[in-house]
Amino acid sequence: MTRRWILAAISAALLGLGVLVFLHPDRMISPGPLSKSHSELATDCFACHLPLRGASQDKCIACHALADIGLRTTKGLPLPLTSPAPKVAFHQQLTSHNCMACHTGHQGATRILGKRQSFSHELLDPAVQGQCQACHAPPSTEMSPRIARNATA
Amino acid sequence: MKFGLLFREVLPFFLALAALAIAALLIDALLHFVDAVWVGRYIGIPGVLLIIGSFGYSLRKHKLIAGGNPAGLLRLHERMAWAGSLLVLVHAGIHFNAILAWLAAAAMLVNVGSGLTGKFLLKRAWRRLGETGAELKRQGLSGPALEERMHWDTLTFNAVKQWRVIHFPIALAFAVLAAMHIIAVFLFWGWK
Repeated sequence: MTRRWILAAISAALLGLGVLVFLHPDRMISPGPLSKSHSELATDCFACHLPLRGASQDKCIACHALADIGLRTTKGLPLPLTSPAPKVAFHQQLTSHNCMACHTGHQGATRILGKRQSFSHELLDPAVQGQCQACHAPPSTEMSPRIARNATA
Repeated sequence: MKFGLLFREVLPFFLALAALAIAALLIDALLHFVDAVWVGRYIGIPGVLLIIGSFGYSLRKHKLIAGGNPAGLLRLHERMAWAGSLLVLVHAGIHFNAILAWLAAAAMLVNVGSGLTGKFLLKRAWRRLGETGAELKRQGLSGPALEERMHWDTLTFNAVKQWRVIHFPIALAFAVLAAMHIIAVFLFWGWK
């Protein structure tokens, strides 16, 4: 009799937990909170993941149109300029389109993802490779104008 | 007498638990030292396989399998479950958000604690039963008289055996929580 009650109590608790997994997957199974811009997808795992195949770059591109990355928001509005010189939109010219190589949706998840492919400038179109100042602030030394001239030469 | 009980019963129990925690911390420190924390992500797999393998004793005990010496299977159950729990504990160290994974790890530790409790309780009960029986036989008792005198010790032993009534649901809870965690990982993780 006691055993039956213990089993019933444990089964009820496990059932409750199972329900919580479906209601709050962000707290129950997510490896970390999503970035602020993706926070509205917190409980919609399949917005980014394919069943049994993980996060999918096709799902990324479905919202972040490749032609718009770095130029327009996902709603098609132009991105506000953050500096006088507009940054180079380089995603369109990448030789490899593997979003997860550089980006992770879950904050802090890099601890379990291991060593990721670091950004390689070799992936950039050669025409963009020389425009260092398009992405990097120039150092304030006397040599920097010469370096910039050499890079664009 | 009190010190005897402490060294013979209580200390080994806590040492077995402490050894698990210390070994997990050492492996975790080693993985950090060699910059291989990511290994913890995979180390849960052999851990789970070891724990599944340890269920051979439970299957034998419930007569679901016929082969194998129960005493040998019990020793294997203890060792495989301890080693598997160690690997899963190291694996659990890399999870930092998912409640389900933490619950599965907590249930596993309760299970290990329950298993060690049962191990020492049963060992103690067996020894007490044997010692009492031998002493009564030395005093010349036999047959119904011996059974009558042994009645309360036998009841004590049976009561200890009832511990399994608790251990099984704890193991079941752990198995279900671990299965839920593993299914979630398979469902959302990209195995590439």
